[in-house]
Amino acid sequence: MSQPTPAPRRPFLRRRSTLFVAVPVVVALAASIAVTTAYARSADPKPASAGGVEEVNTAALPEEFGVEPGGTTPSAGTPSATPKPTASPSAPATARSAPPARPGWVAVDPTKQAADVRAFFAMKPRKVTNNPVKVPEFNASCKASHRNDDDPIVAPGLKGASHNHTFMGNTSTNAFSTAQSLFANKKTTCTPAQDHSAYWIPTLLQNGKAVNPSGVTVYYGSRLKDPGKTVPFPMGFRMITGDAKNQKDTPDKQGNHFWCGGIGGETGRTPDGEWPVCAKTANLVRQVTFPDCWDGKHLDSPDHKSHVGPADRDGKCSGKFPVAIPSVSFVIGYPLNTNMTGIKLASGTGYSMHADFFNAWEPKALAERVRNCVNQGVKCGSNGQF
Amino acid sequence: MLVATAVAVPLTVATTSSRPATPAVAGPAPTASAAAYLGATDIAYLQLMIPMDVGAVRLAALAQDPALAAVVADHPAELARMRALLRAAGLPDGDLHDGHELPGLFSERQIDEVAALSPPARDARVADLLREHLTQGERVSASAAEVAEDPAVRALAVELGAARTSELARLKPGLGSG
Repeated sequence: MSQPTPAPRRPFLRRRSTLFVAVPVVVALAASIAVTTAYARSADPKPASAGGVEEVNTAALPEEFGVEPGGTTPSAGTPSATPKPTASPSAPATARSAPPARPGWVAVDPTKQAADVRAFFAMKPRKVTNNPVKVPEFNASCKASHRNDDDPIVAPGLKGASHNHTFMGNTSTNAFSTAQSLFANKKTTCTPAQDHSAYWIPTLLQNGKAVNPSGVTVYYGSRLKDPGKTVPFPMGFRMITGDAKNQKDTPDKQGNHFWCGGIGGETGRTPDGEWPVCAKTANLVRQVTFPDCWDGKHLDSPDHKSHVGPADRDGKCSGKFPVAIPSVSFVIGYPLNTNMTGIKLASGTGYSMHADFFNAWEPKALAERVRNCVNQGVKCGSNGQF
Repeated sequence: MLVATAVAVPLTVATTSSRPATPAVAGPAPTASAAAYLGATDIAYLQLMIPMDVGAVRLAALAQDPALAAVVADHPAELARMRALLRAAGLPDGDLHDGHELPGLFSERQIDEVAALSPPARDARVADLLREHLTQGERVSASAAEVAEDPAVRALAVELGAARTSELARLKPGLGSG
């Protein structure tokens, strides 16, 4: 008897073998999506951004600050040790042994910080090659990521409490962002990829419509006499520059201005004098600069500014702010030039310009750049190379 | 929910006993029962709601229609409670957001602009701004009710959220436009 003709193979999707593979895969996928969505939903149930651009959720991690990703500190994140407010009413007070002496101040781990600084200076700087410009500098080159009405520094945990912000860098920044959640989210609109930091500014609006910057370069440099003592900021360090409450120009014009960059520069002013009008070969630019000296003890302060300050008259970090950190500035370019009608910031007038920086660089990438470029007084690109 | 609440904690846990103690800074050392332990969200919430309420009361007083001022009649009592919570934690109870232009929070500049309007237009504007203020208060209170750490602040956030909802209902459409 001849062999029966083998039954024609059924189409892929209707084979039993496919089902045996597909079902577990689909179940696993669904489960991981469900878990991710559950985290996202609990952190951010209602995406609602004034600018109508994507609202970003974050899976927040209940760990403490200052923890290296390898979790080397004794207090390395053990989620179960973190007191949870949903416990019984008296739980928060009893779950901690003592409240901090000064609320609003977030301290570094001083032992870890000292050890990190020792290890930093023990790193041998890379030999300078390529004849770089002798200016201590590296940068992160960024595009706008998203907008929302959150501010994880000024209004942590309070969704929608802020004026609209334009976020650069970390794609997950929102009211619930922490150093851990920023570090864990590897997606960023900045180069290099090792920079998970969150950078933000008030959204610029033209006739009520958001105008995203065409690009933002974050410069890390030094204005000190001796850049050789500059150390990296620790993980979780954050600060604000500028004054969101200031709606008026200052008599001595302290550099709190937008200007025109590029050929042709400024050709005039808006009728109220507040904004420059640029030649069509130029565009609107804004620079904001953060202080370059730090108290060495706090990741944050109640006003998010008091833990940092300017260098002294001798170009050194001393007194209350003895630790030199990179001088951070944002140079922000906007796709605006000849038409400057109806421009304002979400925080008010142009004089309310301010900027926020929440550090989440991979520590090694940051340390290398500070050591090789800033300490040696030479200019590097965003790749950290000469 | 658990994840969201756990988020607020790391902002302040850094300074607690599970880390080597940072050198104590001069200042009262509150006992656990005597003083509130306010986390970052708790502080942010109170420091935001206080100037929001202050601005709303000033704004409502500018209106001709007394029904508008009546909508925020409970704000002064709220202010007293919120200020007391900040003081108990050793924090300034003043207006840290003075001048900030945030949703539902009205700066001097904005209040002056409203005052400059003629009465019918002014009342309509006050009603609109109060609506924004109440809506924002509801939204922010909902967030704080979930993630605030101090039980008193959390309970307050729940209460104020409910108050905002009923105040919004009292701010009937058309109120202030006649």
